[in-house]
Amino acid sequence: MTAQAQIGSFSPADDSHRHNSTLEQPWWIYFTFSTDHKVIGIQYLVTTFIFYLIGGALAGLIRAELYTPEADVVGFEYYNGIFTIHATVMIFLWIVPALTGGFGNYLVPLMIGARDMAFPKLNAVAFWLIPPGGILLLLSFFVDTPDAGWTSYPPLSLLTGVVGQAIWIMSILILGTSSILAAVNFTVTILKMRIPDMTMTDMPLFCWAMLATSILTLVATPALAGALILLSFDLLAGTSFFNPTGGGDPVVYQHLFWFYSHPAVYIMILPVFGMISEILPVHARRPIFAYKAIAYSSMAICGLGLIVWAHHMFTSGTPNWMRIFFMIATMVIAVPTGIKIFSWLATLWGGKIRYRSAMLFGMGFVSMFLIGGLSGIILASVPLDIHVHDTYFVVAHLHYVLFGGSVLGIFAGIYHWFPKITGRMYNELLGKIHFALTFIGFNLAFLPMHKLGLEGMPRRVAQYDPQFTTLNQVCSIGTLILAISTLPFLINIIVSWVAGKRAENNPWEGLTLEWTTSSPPPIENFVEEPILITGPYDYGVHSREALAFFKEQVALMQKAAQSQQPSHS
Amino acid sequence: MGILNNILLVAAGIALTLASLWFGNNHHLLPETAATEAELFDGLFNTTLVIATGIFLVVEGILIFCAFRFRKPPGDDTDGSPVEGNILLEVVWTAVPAVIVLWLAVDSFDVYQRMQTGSGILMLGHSHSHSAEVASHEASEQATHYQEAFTKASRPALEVEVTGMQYAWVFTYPETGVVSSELHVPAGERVILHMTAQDVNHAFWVPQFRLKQDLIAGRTTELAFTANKIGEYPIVCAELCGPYHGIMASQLIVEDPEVFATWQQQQVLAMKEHPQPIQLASSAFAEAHQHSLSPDVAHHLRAIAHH
Repeated sequence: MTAQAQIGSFSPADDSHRHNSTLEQPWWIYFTFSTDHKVIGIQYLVTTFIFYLIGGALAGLIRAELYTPEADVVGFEYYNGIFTIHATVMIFLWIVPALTGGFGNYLVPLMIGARDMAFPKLNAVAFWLIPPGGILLLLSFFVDTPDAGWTSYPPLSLLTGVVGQAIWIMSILILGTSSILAAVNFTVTILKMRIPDMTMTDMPLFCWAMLATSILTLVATPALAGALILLSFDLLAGTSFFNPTGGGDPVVYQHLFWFYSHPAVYIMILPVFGMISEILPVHARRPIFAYKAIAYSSMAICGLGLIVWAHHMFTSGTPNWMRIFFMIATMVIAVPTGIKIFSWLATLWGGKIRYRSAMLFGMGFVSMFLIGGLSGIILASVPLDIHVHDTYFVVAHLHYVLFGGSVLGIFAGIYHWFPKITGRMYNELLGKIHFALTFIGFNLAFLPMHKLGLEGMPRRVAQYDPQFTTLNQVCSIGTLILAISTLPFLINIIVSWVAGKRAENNPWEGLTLEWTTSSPPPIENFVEEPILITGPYDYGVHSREALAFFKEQVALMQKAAQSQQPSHS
Repeated sequence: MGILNNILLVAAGIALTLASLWFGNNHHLLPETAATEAELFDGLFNTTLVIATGIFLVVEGILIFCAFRFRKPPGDDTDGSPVEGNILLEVVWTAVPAVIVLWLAVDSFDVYQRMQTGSGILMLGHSHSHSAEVASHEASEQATHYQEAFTKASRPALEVEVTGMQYAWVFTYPETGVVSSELHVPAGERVILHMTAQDVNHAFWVPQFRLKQDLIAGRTTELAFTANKIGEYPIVCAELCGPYHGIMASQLIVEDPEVFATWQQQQVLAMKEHPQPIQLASSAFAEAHQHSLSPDVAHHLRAIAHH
């Protein structure tokens, strides 16, 4: 009866006496083992954002250390632990869980008209693995930090502190398990839980992206788990899988590690590709250009992403034939990625663009991710990579992909779905200030790193040649601006969530199914199973009629709900 | 209007091509070159940068154009154009990038092979004549003198054994038994490094040579190069090797072949007269941090002392 009671209190969007939404549930629901995909999605987003702030604070320490050439802020002894945990937090506790766990959870069931994920309890288990994994990792600061970088290559990882390294391995195993459980859930949900009318090619592109991401997670993550378990045997039980003093081979670890960790890059970017494909059409009022090409290019990236890992090992003594194979495979991945970028441009072309914060971040994403893609082509080329490998050029590249790509995409997603998730509107002006500061700070922080790497500055150093001082200071100032840029965002989100203007059900006039229900949606998402009357991107075709129909539907639902109310209260 | 648009489009295309060509060849992003491999690298890098700049300008240009041209007019709440695709366009933007990246892959492969010819990892020590041939094709003017010397001499490559350890480099010249903390090499001659790591992985990187190779514990890796400009260049460790990774550095000294020969003779004499431990490049650091150095390093220092 719970669900019906929830339906029973359904009321118009501008009515402030709603009790049915996840938002109006008591605050402590977010600290429970809730199986509602929307509660879990919010749990993921808020938890991972806290980890993002922690990872960002560590980045601040790194850039403070690098403001001068001498190791005079945190010192040699602590620097490696700081960048190791910075990277681990940003990858495993922010980008991956925020995108798949956060947005994936919140949006996938809504977009395909389902009432929840296929396995709600498994979903909650996947989330509740995140806090212990993250807290365990951070507690290492009080005993012994892992010092071998997020790559943890042996023999170094076997010779730094045993306790710190063991904590790191345990933490990644927990977080990796969470990721695998979530991937199983998404795959089944997307393939089996769509409303009957919706074929695969009627699905919103975000669902295609989540499908590709989940397949990639399922294939690749077990390899990392295996590598780390073997590493822990070497570390704790004295075996010699990777330890050369006992006849082991450290290069084997690199293969296993990158067999997961390169696909991990696509795990961190494919969902963003999906979100951008949702956001651009809505705010440009245009159908997505080349739907099928975008959908299939996600699957192509998923497939190709599994056969490019050794481009991280061009200087590892990798045999020549392998270098050539992985160079070509890596280069080819530029093709499906290019298809997406060109299709997004064509989506903007001929549109009527509304500049809301979500759109600014979405277009900012396209412009910045492009730079990461172009430097990626340089890294794919064997002779060019040999010079820039393990230098600041790589640091620049990966931040253009993961910050200019993933993080700008996450912000675009937060602004776009904020009204749906919270039932409140955010402040556009603060959103635009946030975008401007982020864009400027980001480019100041990371653009000069390309030159630093090409000129000869290796990565992962606490101290550097004084000739690199000026550019490093620019990077550090950029990081400070990035840190400041978080403030307008936090103020905006917190104040708007508590006291923002009530949001309409469909403030951006979107055509995907999450906009056909109330903001925030009721516990089982839809009062009645939604009917598919429009494609997800039919702007300029019959969007007026579809939107009018959505409004009618919601009004009917609310009327029906109100007439039921007395019998339940 | 149509003609005007076409003229504008052609003009934009020309400007874009010129801008890409100019930036790709005047980027000032790289340090000086001091080896034939570095010149090969710079050629390929500049080509790649021309292409990347072109793509960058096209995409960002269209994005910015759309941002202004396709803003929502005030008071207009209608949708944009309903076009959902264009097969021709889609084929073009799939095929053109595919051709570009495959061509770049082939070009990269070619450059990589030319860098390796003479003594690459696969073809170690098999075809010195190729090396000379490539060298004479590729050498810049300043290098010609040494290239000629090399071609005439046609001597086998100089082999040096390199050991990396936390946080120092040791270079051993097997022919003479000379052990040094700095790498001296003759200009214009092929040099092959046989490298291994004593404790954890390291990477040998000389930015002016554009060459890098990991030193892997338990394995031997090779790196070959032909230096072509006299001078001192930094040797940088590029693979995280511990807390003091950032100070693991040494010098590569490229000398005139005669100066190099003299240096080697002096080292041999000095070793005969005063057999004593060499001064490691980071020895000042090693002394200051004696207590924190790993037993391996201490052991190695003793081994060198008794050599």
